[in-house]
Amino acid sequence: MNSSSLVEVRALSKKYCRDLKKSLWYGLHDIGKEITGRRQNAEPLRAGEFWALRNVSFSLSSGDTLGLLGRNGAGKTTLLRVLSGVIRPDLGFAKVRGEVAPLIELGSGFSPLLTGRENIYVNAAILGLSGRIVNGLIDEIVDFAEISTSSTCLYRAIVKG
Amino acid sequence: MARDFVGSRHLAYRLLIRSLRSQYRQSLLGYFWVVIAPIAATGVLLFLSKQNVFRSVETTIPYGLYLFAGILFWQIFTDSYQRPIQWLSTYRLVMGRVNFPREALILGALCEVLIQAGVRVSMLLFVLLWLGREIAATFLLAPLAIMALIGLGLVVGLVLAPLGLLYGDVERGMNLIMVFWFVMTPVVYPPPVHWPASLLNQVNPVTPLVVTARELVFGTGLTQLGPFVVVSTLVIVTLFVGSLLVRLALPHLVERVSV
Repeated sequence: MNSSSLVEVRALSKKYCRDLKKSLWYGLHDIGKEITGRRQNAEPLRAGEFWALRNVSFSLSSGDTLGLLGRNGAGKTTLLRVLSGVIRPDLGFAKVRGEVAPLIELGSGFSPLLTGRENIYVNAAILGLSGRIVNGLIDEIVDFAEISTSSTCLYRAIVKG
Repeated sequence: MARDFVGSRHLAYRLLIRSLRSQYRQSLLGYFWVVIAPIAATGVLLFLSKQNVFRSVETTIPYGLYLFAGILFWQIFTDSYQRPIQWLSTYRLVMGRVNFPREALILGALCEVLIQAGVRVSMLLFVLLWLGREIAATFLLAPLAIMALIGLGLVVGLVLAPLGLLYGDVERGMNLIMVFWFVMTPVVYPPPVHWPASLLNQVNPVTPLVVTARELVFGTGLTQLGPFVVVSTLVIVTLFVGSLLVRLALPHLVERVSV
């Protein structure tokens, strides 16, 4: 890895399967291989599989900005998921120095039965922020989200009206 | 692995608070449900036995109490097996978005199980005191048997979790199996002594745990100490294996079910 690069992606490939039943079966198969310690072969593709990412390479240094453009299903989110370490590449590698704060589909961790404030603490904890840090930031967060009058209402009530 | 659990304790605490708060918010009776469920179950079964729907059995302690304790123990066991899958399933989508320490989910689920078990045992103690029964000194050792029960539940839960997250069949199947398992465990009847029914004592790992927990609570002498020790030891070993299994399987599960 280049000493100045913060994000380094080399020959990254990731395959997916659109057929749910097959995908679940492959998942079970892969778990079995993982447990018995046999390394799975990324190639060839199994029936129903396709490459969501194929041979992606790039590197980003401090100060760089990279925009990803593509049609639905082009693999943008998949790349972000690999970069945030949520899923592992089938081939190649992605290395990231520093911390990643992925903003993929905000609010997926929100509970409709918690207040805005409670949800802020939970989601901050999921992103690795301690309660003490959030205590110092909570007013700023509430202002930014423009929920200052409703932050103690249930999330369900906030989003519905 | 232990270090990862320690590192995730802050997140586990937050998630636990979240779970406890949101669980009963949309209900009138709230936390009382923890108390109501076993009392109602005991009431129904006691009524049925009084009506001779099933052959009433001889127990050294009042049958109602015998039943109540057994049901509480059984519920602690089912809680412990359901909770890990439930937590993993709740955070399925979040796991696909953020790479937070997954150990927090297991730790949080475990804490929730411990809290609920604590409430259930306190309830039992309260009922015994309320009825003016003398509390046996062995009651102090009952938490050991309860922990073994929780451990066994967690083992079942952790081993089934990977499969259960992939296929809905597991949950449906387990609901069915649990009904049979309940009937096969001496909850509403004393452990069978005559062959072949007594075979249940040997093949059902829950039996020695429930029996021992009840004997410790009522101080009636231990009859299944040997099997209890064997099962508890196996639980400790398999608990480790189960956690390892979930750890290895989770990345694959996240990939398949959280997109």
